[in-house]
Amino acid sequence: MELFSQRLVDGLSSGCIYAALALAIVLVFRATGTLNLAQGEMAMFSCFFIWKLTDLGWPLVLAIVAGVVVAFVAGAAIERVIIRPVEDSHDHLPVIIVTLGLLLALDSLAGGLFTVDIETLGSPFPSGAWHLGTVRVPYSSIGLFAVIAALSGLIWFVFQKTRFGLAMRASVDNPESARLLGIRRSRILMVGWGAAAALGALAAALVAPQTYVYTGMLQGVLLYAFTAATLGGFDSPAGAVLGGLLVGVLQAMVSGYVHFIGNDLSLMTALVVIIVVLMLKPTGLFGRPDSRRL
Amino acid sequence: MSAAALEASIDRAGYGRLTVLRDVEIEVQSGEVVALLGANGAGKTTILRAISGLVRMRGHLAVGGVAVVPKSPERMARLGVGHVPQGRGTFPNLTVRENLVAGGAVRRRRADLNSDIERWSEVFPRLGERMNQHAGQLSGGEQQMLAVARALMGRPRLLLLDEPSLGLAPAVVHELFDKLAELNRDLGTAMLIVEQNANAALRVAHRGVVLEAGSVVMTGSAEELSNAPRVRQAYLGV
Amino acid sequence: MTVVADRDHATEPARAGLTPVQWHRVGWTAVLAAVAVGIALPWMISGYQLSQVAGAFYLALGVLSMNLVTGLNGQISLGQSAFVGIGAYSVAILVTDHGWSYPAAMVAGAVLSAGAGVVVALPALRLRGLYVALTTFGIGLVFPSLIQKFSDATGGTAGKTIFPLYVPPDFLGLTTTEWGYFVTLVVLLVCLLFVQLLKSSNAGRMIQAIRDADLVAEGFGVPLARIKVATFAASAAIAGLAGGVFAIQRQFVSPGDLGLDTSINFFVGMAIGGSVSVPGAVVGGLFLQFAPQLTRHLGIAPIYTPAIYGALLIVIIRFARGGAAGLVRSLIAPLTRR
Repeated sequence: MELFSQRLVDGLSSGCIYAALALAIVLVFRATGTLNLAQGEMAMFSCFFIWKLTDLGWPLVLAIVAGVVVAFVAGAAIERVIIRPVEDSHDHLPVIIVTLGLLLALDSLAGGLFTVDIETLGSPFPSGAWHLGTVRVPYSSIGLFAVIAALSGLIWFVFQKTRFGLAMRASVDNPESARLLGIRRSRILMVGWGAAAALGALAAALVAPQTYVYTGMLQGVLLYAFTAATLGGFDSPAGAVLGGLLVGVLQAMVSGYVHFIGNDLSLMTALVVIIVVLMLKPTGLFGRPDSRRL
Repeated sequence: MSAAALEASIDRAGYGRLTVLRDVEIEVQSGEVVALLGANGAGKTTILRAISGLVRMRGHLAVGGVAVVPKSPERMARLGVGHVPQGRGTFPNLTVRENLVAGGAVRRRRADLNSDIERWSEVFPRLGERMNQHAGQLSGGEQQMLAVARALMGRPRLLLLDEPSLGLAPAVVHELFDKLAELNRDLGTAMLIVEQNANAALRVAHRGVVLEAGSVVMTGSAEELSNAPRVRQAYLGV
Repeated sequence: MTVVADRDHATEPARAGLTPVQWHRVGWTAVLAAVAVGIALPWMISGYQLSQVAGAFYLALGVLSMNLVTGLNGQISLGQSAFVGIGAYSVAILVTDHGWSYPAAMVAGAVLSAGAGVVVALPALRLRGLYVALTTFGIGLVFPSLIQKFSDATGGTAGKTIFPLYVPPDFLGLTTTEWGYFVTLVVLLVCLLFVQLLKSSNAGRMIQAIRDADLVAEGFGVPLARIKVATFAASAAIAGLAGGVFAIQRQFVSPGDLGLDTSINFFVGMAIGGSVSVPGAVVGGLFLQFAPQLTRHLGIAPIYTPAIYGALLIVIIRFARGGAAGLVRSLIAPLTRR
């Protein structure tokens, strides 16, 4: 029972990271209608940037804040300069291909501009843990939960209670009508990609203490994040968070209890989940049915 | 004399290599209702989409006497042109209230929005009853009214309506066009109404334009057109 | 009330140049010349250079498999490296551990890859293009971990050496490298011919109709499911053969060459050569093989080569979606007479 609870805590903890990256994926999907396959690479690059700042002597939290802000700006710029020229609300494939190009470029640039070595990044949370019986709940995990809760609240508030959030939802619901009402799709696209990049940077910084900082640091995490977004529904932020937590817990349980799968096949299992969910309920647990042909 | 609400001179407009419109000139005076008639495929919808900037066109466009360059749907909305697209174009997953708030996107002051929403709930009582329902759950007629009210939230000087009667029962069409005439009288909003249902449109219009195969073939006052044999045969089912 | 008259239309001007049929003949003559050069190559260049060209041909096969499934049929597949891997490891395992002959192992590899292609294509039928891209992306990402899982058979991350070496029959008097080259060349030519013939056949028209307007095609009686699955399987088979020649050339396989970046590189090669162009696959393969050397020559550190690929991909999608073939076509167009 204690092992189960421990696995639960650890699973929820990693689930928060998947949730953060899944939120980024969902934001881009809601704004642009397509998937950013380079989300992981963008986050990794931002993490290297944050690491470089700490290497130059910046305090960690300041570096993370700076990294998140710079990521927002960079994400908006990438949308405007690279994505927008090929963006088309009817054909989503050219954008996906362009994100492939981004993936290659960012991966290589990170290795060239920063380093191909593995670097370390500290945790902004205090070390040590809270002991609940025999279960160890690290302070960093509590910190992660708090961050995800705050992010979820923020996103919910922006979407539901602000004019910009309404404009974004309208633009996704019927892009043409939104334009006819004077809603500037340009702004929505840039903010969507910028926010997604910022979320990715934060997720990378928070997972770095465990994975260390290197060009491949988020490859696996990205797949779990996509699994989370698939489970929750690509257009649902709430689904992304719940999906992320669920994937984290499932991963901890399955690799712990099903020995055949262990760590090697953990990724494979995630992929299978993606395929199964896409086939059975493509809109995920919380997504809205898409009237267009799936 | 106040400037015309709209002066459109479309040399060419179409989709890719396909030219749909040739040498179309349309004018809508301030406070006027113009009906744009024609059969399916004549290009009526393309005219509205070209005016709004959703379709590429070669030619000139002026709103309120001011030339519009460059043109985009967002810019046209900010210049006071409201466009009610074909098929309503409501936001199905937003509530009626949220649809209306979105309609006010071009307006600067938040406070006015609420009073406008109040007013439209009175003009369209059925919308008032369904304020918190998702727009996708409304009937066709209610969605049409919502689309019109939403466009009016921007306080446009000109309203472009694309086939508002499409898919609606005759009684609903009657009520809708009565409302449009009422709005034109009370607000002075100019209107360019694209309609296959020439009867309904000519009833409330001041003037009419007939389009055939991408070109204008006839213009005149609503009365003249209603009495013209060509129009009566082709479009009025007489 | 005014009534307006009708208008008339201008006529098209005539052009100078060759007729399409004549251009066709020019094209095939160029192809035959290229094949002749290909056959004579071992006597023209060094062994090392030959192995490089052989490497380019392996890459061309990978790009060709993408041309078939993505360029012609419109199904975005980002996991071709997995099919290449199945073909490569089939040869490695069957030859080394079970004593199969190389040709038999290659065929087995192609069949197994085709089977895997069917397994992927069936669920893909029900998914939007976007999600097929995501799923195959996942496959490309996950494949190396599968190799690691079954490391008893595959040798895991350390890789697997293949022996006995594939030696040519004595009477030919060729070196192992030259033999590997010819095997690759033959496989490449067969596959190129296959795809070219397929493209201009009835089936090929149906395949491309599905890419352009699948619902319309279905309305005209095109059996959507059967063709999409068959195309995917054929493309996987070609990738499997690519894996086979890869194994033969190197006599060694490891997961390092079979990751997601390999799949994406094939995509880049396809974009460069032209997504529907069969000769374009060879152009793509040559690019992938020699571009890194070219960039090194220009003084750019090798680590930045993928960044150049990425930039090229972005630029091509934006400005020249037809790739090299498209550029050739637009150069020829004003010189084509009706």
